[in-house]
Amino acid sequence: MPQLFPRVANTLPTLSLIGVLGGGILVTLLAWYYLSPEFYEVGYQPEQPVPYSHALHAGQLGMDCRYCHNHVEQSPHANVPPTQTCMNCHSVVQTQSPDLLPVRESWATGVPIQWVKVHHLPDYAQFSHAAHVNVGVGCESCHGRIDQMTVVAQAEPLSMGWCLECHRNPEEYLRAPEDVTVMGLAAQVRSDDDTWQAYLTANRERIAREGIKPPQNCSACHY
Amino acid sequence: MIELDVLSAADLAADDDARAAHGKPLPWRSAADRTSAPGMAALRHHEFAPGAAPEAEDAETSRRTFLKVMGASVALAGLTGCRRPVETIVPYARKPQEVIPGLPNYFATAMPFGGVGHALLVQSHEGRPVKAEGNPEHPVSQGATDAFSQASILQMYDPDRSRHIHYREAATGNAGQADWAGFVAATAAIRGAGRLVVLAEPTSSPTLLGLRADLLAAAPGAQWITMGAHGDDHGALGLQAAFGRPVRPLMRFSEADVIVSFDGDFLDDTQAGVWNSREYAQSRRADARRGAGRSPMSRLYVAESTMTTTGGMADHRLRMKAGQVPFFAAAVAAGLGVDTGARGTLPPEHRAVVEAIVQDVRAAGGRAAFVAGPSQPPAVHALAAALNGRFGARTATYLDTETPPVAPVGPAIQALVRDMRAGQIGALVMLGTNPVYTLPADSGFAEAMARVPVTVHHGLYRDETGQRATWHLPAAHYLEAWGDVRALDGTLSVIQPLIAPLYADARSDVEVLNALVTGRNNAGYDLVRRTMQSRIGGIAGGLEDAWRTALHDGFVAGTGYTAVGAAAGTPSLADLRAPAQTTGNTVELVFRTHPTLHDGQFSNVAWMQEAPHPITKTTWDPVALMSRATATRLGLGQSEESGKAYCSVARFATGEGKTATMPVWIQPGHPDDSVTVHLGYGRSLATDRTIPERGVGERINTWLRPGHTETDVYRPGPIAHLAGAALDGGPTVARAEGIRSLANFSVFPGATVTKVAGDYLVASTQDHGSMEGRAIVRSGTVAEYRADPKFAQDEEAFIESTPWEAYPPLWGEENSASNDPRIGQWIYSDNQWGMTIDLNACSGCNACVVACQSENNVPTVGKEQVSRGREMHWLRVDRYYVGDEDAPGMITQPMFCQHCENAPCEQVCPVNATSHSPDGLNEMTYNRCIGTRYCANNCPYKVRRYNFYNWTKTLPIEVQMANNPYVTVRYRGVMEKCTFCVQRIRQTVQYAHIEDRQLRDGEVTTACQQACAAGAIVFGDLKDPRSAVSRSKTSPRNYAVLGELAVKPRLTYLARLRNPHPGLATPFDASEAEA
Repeated sequence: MPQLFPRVANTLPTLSLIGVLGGGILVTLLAWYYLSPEFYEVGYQPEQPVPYSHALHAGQLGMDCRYCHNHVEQSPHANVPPTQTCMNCHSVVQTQSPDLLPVRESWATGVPIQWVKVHHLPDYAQFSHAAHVNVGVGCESCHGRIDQMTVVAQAEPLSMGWCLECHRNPEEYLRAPEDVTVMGLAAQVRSDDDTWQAYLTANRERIAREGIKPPQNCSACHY
Repeated sequence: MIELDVLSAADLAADDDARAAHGKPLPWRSAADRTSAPGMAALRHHEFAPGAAPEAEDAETSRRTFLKVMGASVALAGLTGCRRPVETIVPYARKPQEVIPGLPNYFATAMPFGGVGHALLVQSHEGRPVKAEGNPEHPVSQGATDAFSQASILQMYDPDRSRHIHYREAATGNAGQADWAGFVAATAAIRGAGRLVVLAEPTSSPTLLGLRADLLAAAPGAQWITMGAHGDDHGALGLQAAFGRPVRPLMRFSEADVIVSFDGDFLDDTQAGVWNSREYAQSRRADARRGAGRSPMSRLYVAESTMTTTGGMADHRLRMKAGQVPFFAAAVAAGLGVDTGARGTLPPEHRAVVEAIVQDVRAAGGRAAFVAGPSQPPAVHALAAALNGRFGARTATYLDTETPPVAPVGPAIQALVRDMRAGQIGALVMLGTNPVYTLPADSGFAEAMARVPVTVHHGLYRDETGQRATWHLPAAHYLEAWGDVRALDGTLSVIQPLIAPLYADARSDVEVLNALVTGRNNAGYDLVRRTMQSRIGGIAGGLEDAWRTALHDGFVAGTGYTAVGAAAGTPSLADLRAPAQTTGNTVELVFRTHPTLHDGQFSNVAWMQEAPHPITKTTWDPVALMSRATATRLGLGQSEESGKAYCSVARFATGEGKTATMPVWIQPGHPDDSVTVHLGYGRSLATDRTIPERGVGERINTWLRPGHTETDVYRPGPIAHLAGAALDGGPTVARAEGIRSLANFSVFPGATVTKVAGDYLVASTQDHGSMEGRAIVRSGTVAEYRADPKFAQDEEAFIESTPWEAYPPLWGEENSASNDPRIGQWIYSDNQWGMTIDLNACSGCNACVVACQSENNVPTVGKEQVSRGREMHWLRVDRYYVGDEDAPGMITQPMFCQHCENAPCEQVCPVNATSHSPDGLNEMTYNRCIGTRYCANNCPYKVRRYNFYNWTKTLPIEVQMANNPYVTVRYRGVMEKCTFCVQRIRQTVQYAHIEDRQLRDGEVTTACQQACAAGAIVFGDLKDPRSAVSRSKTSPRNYAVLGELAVKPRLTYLARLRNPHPGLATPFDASEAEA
């Protein structure tokens, strides 16, 4: 009786074992990357009801973030401005713009504009803007270069690991509280090694002086 | 590593034997616990009662069910959404100036309840009220609340509240909806319809009383009948007879050396509970009163007809029928030289107590206080006032309430019904009252109502009366409308709305009455402001300043009632007859307002239905309380099986067509031949809510598991209908209101009892979390305390002999949270949170339970789930009896997460979902939890709660609006427990940090602490030696529950002290004789 399987078939179990293991590792790696917030959260850029451009207002016109997000220093929420804030200027500027029609409508009817939320934290994570902005965590550290975004997109993953990166190494991210709204500072301090080292040293001194201890325990945010 | 012994069945049995052989009568929680009934061992040793875990439920899981589940899973797998949910942000179009999104505003207002105002400070999130707290500056509240004020938040969001004006044509019976303008237009016809009668609740509102005067002046022949749902206010009637005008007692128990209560549950009183609890607790602070040259503690004598929270606090408690109490009071009075002419004999066992009271009162020198309860006839209230006049100069003040005279309700109703039948009444207006429900069945009111051309009902619910009335007008909740009210001491408050009425048709009582009087549609704001103009308009700065100050402060200072002089003379009790010996199947029936539902006003509030009755710990069902001897005589009983109580059902009859059926509850310490029944059950409400269709998931779930548990108590309809729903004949057979008599609403001397076939499952939490009879609650007398201040400390002194640092943590030094040297470098380690609870102050009133529920979004689960031991209350109040079942002593103990430093739960969590924070909190991270329940299993205090279902998802949207946005709503499969209100800690610390300052002591309060009127709960920073909690922990009475386990709880208790008369025995004596 001839051999049912050729000799080469002897390698099949080994190959399939390698295949299963390798495939498993590959699937794990793929899931690790593609199912992570870095992949599927960063870059989320929904269409907004009004084509409001941060690049124009915050970038070109240089408006302070806190002109519109005016409760960011007091409240856990960085409030999205009421229609009233838009109309402070737009009752005299661009009064005929078709893009601003929803704003004028909202102002006339009192029905709020429904903005689409971009930066979304889970309900079980309690984040306070006030607690961060007042000690010198810059807007751009979490929101990226808002001043260059025509349509706002999520710049950072906002995952817990990402939060902890800063909570563990605050010296790499802290800035003077008066500089929180400055855009581009993060890139500037990393521009060359000397600046960077000076920045780190200054921050370490401040951390020691002011006793800054970002919490890392669960109930700091989860309750 | 420590070697842990594995508990075997033999060990467990030996444990029980040891307990029995100990010989020392230990506190017990129920009859089954006391006698170690079969099944109790399992109940004590297990985390949950048998049946709580889902295994039992799924025992019949068959191949068929398995296939169903698998099929459904496959089908649903394709349906799971893979899209990112789009969330919107909706800012204001025009933002109100004072609102900062994300930060709450606080508004001072007052809750009108029980005829008085309860001053509150209500938290509002972007216009949504979510939490009621007491007004800290108000003289009565001083920051504390009762359970009702807390629950009023959920009442406002009650989806079964009436939403529309309903109009029913009397002639044709055609029913439909109408509008407010239609009603205002119809008021002319109502005024002109003939004799006008108003049935209204007792009120202290100046605006309402002014409109009342206007009405009586404008409409000749009009009549105003004041009718509390609980019937006559015997106290008001008795004191009016004694003083010649309506007065109210204001008791300063803090000044008292001896307090005598004649069936008065003054600690659980809707009008004065908050005030009395604080005052009483102050009179019991032995450490503070020491050195003042006075007795270190007050001594409380209680003679009562049912077990109450006040009776539980008593140094000497006598159980007696309500009809016997007047003669006890008369004997006390006679002993003190006050002759009442009462013709009754005193049972010999009461004589010693009367002598002791007389001796104490004489020694007290004006520091005695006498209290009478609502079950007692007016003459006993007058007698208490007379005794206070002679012996309580320093304790009792009587205030002139400036209200029109009160009159007995019974005769007024009889005359009214007669006139209604005769067609002499043109229009009947029921303002907040519900006579069809509250009046006895034989009053004939419901039938007579049909003979009145126009009937107007104004109330929060389309209740029994509202469904029959020509006009039903939905009432605006006090959080939705302007009004005014006067507090217990008369301090005037403006009721300030926090939200526009949820239902556009809702109007306040002042608006309705004003429309009736004037025919005009005036806004409540204008009406109240007009009243205030006359009261405070003259204050410097003008009305606007005074008005704004009143709104800001929540009250107008200095507007309290004035005290009146002493009572005139001694009332005669000569007319009272001693209760006849009840024989055969007759008993005395005593009607009481329910400690959580009151008179039915809170029947439809889920928090209150599920808050355990402070004594019986029953939830969701009406029960008739009686002693074991009486139950045996009547052939009734109660059995317990695996922690579930199965009760006989009895039918109580008080006359032709007057019966009520309810399960029987055997109550330790209840007098024989007397039965206590509670008002507030047997409701029948009509709801305007459309109950939504079941979702796909829910329908599949129902199909998979027929009879599966409802995860939404609101699903079947009004909550109130769930109470007693399983009774034969439906919930309405349990209406105790119907079997009262118009002559005496409180006591019926000879009701007949018949047993109804079948047993009834009552969901009681009393054995849930039973802790194996260890010395969980500790108490001693003042004398013992003096002799040995450390009497409450651990006898074994395990912790003292083994320093905490030397005790090896389970996972080795390097992984122990509290020993980690790095902790000192972390934020939050600046404070170490801790708490003490003074058992000497806690009466078990439930305010903390409901406050915790409101603050922490604790779900309600319904009767069936409570009976399985799945109630979700983070804070439970354990109630222990001591001594003989007939006359036990009682101690209550609030029990919740102890925040152990060496927490057993943390050591067994496989995913680190529960861990330790640097500031000493035992943190629970919901999003990490995978639901193994190991932690709950390892918790010696049984304080962890598991979400067997998703309790929130299917709740009506109105109810979800009551949730606190700062606390995560938990999902199915997640463990939860007390967090020490971590959300408040974190926020306060964050803002202190932003403001660059240290935390102040008392800045962080927990919800339970804030609500507690007695000040039993102290919370704060243990690291600060001067903080209130640190000082409290230095008390020699301080002890840790189960301290011998070396878990180092951060929550410790201060032992209860008693102040018995040296010549009298107490139920505690036996247990202390051994010690």
